[in-house]
Amino acid sequence: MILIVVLPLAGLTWLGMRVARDDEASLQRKFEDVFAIQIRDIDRIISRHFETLSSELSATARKVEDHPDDIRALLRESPQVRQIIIVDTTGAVLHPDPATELNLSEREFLHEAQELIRDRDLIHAWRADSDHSQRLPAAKTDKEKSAASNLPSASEGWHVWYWGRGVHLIFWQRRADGNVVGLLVERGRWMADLIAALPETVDQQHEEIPVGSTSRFRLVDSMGDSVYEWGEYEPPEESAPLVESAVSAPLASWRLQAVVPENLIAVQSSGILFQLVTGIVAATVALSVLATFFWREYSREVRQASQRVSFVNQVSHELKTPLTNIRMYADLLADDLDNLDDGSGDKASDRLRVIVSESQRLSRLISNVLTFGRQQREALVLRYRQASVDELVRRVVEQFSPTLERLGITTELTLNAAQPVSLDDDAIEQILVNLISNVEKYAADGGVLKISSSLTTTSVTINVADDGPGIPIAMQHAIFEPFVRVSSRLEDAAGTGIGLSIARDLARLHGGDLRIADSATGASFSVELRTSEEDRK
Amino acid sequence: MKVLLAEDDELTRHGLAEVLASEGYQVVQASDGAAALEHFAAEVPDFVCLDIMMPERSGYDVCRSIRSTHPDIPIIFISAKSEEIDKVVGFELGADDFIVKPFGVREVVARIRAVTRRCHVARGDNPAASFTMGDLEIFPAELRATREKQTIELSLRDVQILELLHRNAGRVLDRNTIFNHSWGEDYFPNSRTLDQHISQLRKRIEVDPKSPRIIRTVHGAGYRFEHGADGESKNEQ
Repeated sequence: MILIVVLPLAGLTWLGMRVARDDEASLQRKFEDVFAIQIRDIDRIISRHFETLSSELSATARKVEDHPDDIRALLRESPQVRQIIIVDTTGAVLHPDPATELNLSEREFLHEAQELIRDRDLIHAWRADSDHSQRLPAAKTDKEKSAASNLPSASEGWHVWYWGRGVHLIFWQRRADGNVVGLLVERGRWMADLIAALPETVDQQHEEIPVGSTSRFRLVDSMGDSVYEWGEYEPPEESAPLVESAVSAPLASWRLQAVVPENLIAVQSSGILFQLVTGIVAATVALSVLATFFWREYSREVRQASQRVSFVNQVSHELKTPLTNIRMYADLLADDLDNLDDGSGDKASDRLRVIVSESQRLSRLISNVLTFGRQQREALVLRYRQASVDELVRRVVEQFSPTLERLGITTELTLNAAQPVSLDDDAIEQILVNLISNVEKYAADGGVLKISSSLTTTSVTINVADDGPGIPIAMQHAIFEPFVRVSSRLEDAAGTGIGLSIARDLARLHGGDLRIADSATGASFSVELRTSEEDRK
Repeated sequence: MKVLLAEDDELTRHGLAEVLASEGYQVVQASDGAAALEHFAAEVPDFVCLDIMMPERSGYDVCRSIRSTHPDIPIIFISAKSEEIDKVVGFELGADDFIVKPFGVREVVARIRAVTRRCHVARGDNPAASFTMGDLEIFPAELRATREKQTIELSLRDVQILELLHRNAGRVLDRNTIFNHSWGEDYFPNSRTLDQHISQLRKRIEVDPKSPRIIRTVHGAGYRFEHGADGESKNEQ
């Protein structure tokens, strides 16, 4: 369950969080890009506005005559120009000349423009113009080009002049005589015109990002005060802009700002987060359903396997009682026939021996099936008792003697382990039975079955060797695995292929092992069993 | 020696009873656990053979009841249950042996004889005590005889017959005497049964069963052991 549900979900969540984080960063960049484009477009509107204004003022400047009356008349015709100033190449003011009679507007202007005149700003502006970016864009129309060409030495541009709390714009033009004409643009007028040129609402220009409904654009002056704002969103005071950019000349000290709600990106990315959470929940449900399905299937398989094993065990147990009676009564009948001294029962005895021998074979098979069942569920447990290995060997050999005799196999016992030691006699008997069963199956062409036993202070060793065909070298490793048989051909020796596996496990449970021993001919097995501490005392 | 045999399968019970009887035991049969306890109380056998799965009372229950009053009496479980846990429970309850079905007669005989040897030891018999009949040395408590280095397994009945013949060396013992001694007085005498048994015994203990030296037939009378014919007895009991 953990592997199927928890680990994939943990991985998915970690991956999802990373994706969400990356997505938020990407969304932030996207917002910045979109609003930067918006601000650039607004700045273009401002630039175009000042280009138009420049053209108009350039034409007006060219009309400026030297005589004060002409200038005053021009001012009356040009409402967007508040005052006109003419300075010579040294910076000296030629108009409005304080030495002459001036009107109120001219006097006020001279008062306001003291610093401008003193610092000869217009002359500096003209001189800087040769390599400064405040040069006006090239005239685009033919008329403008021709007008410009009529003024070969003239150049023009904007000069930003601060007085009081406000910014003032002076459009200057250098005439052919070297004097510079400056037109002080009516502040209220140019600002009103500029604001009129700016949009009142924010257009929705982006498919994904709600620029219009969730943003506010600000034009901020050099003092940081908002000059004009538009957009549906009303930000709280002192909210930081998402994107900010300086306005192009002449209002280069002003800034354009785009303000969006602080949680806008979070809200946008929370949509992704919502999708992510929804995805993880869906994945959890899907994985849980899948895991439940697998778990139920697995449980069903285990239950069925357990039922099958239980059934085989039950049947095997049930087989035991009738088989006991067959064996016992066959034995009793054999004894009865042996008691017939006239030899009339010899033929019947031979046939009875087959019944006894086959019922023994069936007993061994059932015993191995049951032991294998316990081996598979790791329920093999030994019950130690004092027993003599030699006695066990004799008992098993006696059990096989009718069959071995029939097959022409003679038995040679060299037994040197008569002293009782602590072991599970049933387990040792099963090991011996399985080894001798193999001799019966595979070495059925006669020869000698040699069984020897020896006892040391720490172990008992039993060797079982036959004169059969032996075990091919290639099979020697595999032969102890369950269901592996030297030959699986139907016409070859019968068997289930679990005998050696069981025998080795039982030997290992005794702290020993079952191995293939070196042998010149036939198969030879060596069973080693560790004796307990008590045996050594 | 009396044995209580409790087994619910009739064929198995009868077969085992026959095996035990032919070994020389007096068999008391019970077909369920309750009957087993009744017979035990009435007969007080020398040892008990118990099936585990029985009607009325299980073999474990019967074992517990017997152990509560007779802690030393040998008990052998006979069962189709071969799981280790069953064996462990059996041994925990104080079983002396555990014979797992399916078994052959020889296996049962071997285990019964082993328990009988332990009974003899428990009764205080000296396992080394022996008597000789010719070149055969007989160890009654061990249910075996030796000739040179050869060991010959004997049944309880074999030992009883040999003991009787040895005790009456030189005398002819008629069939009834041998029957009463070795089969019990309740046994219906059948001369063929005795002759067959003697024949089988000779096959195992005589060097040449066709011309027996230990158990000689006295035609028309019975059997006789001739002391001193092949050697003197030693370690007389």
